Amino acid sequence: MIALAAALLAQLEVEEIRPLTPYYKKGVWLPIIVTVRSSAGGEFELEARTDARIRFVRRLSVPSNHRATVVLPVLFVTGSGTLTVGGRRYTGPLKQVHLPDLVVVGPADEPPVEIGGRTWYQSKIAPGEEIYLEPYGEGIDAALFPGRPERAPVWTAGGGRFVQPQVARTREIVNRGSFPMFDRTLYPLVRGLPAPKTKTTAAYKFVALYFLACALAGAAALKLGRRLVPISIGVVGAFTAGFFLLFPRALVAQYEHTLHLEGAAARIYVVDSPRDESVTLEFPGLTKPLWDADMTLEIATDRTVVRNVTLRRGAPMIFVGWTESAEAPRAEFAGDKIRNLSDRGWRDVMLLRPAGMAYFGSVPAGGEAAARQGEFPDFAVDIAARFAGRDRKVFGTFEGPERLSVMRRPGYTLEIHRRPDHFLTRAD
Amino acid sequence: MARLGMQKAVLVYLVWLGILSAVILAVLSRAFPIELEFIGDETLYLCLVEAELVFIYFVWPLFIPATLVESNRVRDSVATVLLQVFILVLFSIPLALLCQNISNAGGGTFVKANALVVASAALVGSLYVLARTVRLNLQPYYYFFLFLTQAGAPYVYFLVRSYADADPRAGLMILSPFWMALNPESAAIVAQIGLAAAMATGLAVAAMVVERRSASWQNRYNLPPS
Repeated sequence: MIALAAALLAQLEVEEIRPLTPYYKKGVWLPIIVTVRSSAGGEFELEARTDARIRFVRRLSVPSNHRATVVLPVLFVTGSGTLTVGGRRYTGPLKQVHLPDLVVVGPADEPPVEIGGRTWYQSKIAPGEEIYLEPYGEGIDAALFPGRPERAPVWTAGGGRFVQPQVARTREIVNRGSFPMFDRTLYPLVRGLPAPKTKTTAAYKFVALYFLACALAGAAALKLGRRLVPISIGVVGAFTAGFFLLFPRALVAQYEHTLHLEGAAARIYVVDSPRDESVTLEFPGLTKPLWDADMTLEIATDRTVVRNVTLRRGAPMIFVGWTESAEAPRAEFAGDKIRNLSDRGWRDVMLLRPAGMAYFGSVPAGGEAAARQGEFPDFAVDIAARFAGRDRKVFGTFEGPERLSVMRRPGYTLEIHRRPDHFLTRAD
Repeated sequence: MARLGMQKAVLVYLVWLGILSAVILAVLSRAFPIELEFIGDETLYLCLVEAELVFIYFVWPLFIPATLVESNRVRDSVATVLLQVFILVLFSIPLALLCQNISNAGGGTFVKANALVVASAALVGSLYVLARTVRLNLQPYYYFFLFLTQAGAPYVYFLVRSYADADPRAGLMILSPFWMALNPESAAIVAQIGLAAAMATGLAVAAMVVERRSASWQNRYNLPPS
């Protein structure tokens, strides 16, 4: 099987590796646009490696003698910026940036905590254990266990400014109380794929069926006379056996929090295991771990599958994703906006939106860009969320030496204007 | 008559299962008007044990006298009570396994909590057997004592903690199985299980002694059996 996969992989030639922008931020998705070609065609597994211990994998199908262009988001955890896709190393420009000027807007009724110039929210994931979460850009970029500095995150959006004295400072505010800002629901044990069933649903059905069976057993006992004991033992035995055979084991508990922000919501998954175990997890949408660890992230258009991740007893892992907020206003990127762009000197426009990515091409002066829909139809919101600004004006602009791209995120009032230069000039 | 007893027995089991099922569904669905921090998936098993204890101490005593109507001797009464306790616990096992699974509760917690429920049920049942033997209408005294211990102990706890600046919880906890059930990891729960089991045994033995003395007295004076 491995040999076959290797043979298939060998037939996939990586022609071009093009990061969506030549800038990356630690722990924040950077979409990589990869053009591949296959002479034999078939199903392939494209793998990207960065300086993280994570394998980023995308499955794709390429007809024989055809090219395919896919987007594969990756994460960086250090400032080295090494990137290898399909065995080919990317040698182009790739610089680390900090985006400290994004304004974080939290829920209006919950006071955030300012630590070191950053905004933190507090949540309780388990009795006696709080974490601080920092919503930033695409979602949560850092989480902190105040009483357990050994679990301090590797990734921090601020570029590793998270240091021990700040851990000590956070201890002082642990007793401010837990903010009930998360809607927590019991999420399923996810062992197989696909796994939409939840333990809660299974428990509802089990309890209802059991009560019904016991009521019928009672009726039968009344009908048959004094035979309640054997009937009871039969019912209880059947359900006990069924429980052990069919009900998911209590090995991994996965909890879902939703942190509601303006125009969107961050999905936070806390995965815990009562014992050390290697598991496979599945999350909707593009979802990332908050810690660098050995695992494989198989990224599909609608879900992220985490394979071969080892959960340690008493050390929950946190995964975060991003969800659109239905009630947020959706601004349209109309043609006149693009004309305005050309007036402002913008030359190249790329738009990400839920229906897919549209490449608007060059913007002629005073003219309207011709939208070419569907060039990258399979990735949309999640990678765009990385660039989401919180000031309701600009959701993110990136300017390189050759091209200018505009990413927008539905849910924000769209007023295109040029971002100050310092937005990107803070690169290391 | 036997059919009437069977109907009551089935009614007891269905009420028992109905309460436990309702508690599980309520906790899982969080169908509460206010957010209760204690109520959650991780405490589902403890919630189930609390519901079992509520049934054993508050609801089941309403059914016990009717259950014992057909038992003429103390030995039969004890056997009836123990059989009912056995079936009650038996019926709760699938639900307890479900809650233990969702709460990730350990095996020790599972065993100790069930032992606490069994010992409590045996204690209550034996108490009613003794009361029936001495022809005492136990109901008002029982519920008054229950009120004193289960409501009074927490009240004393808060009074002492507020005004005496002391924490009498450890001393008062032994009075309350509900309190104890919240700490299944503690060693004190084993002591309470043992105490309840010993008291149940003592009450059953006392009922037998009373019955024997009563029979002896009836034989001596040639009275008809009661």
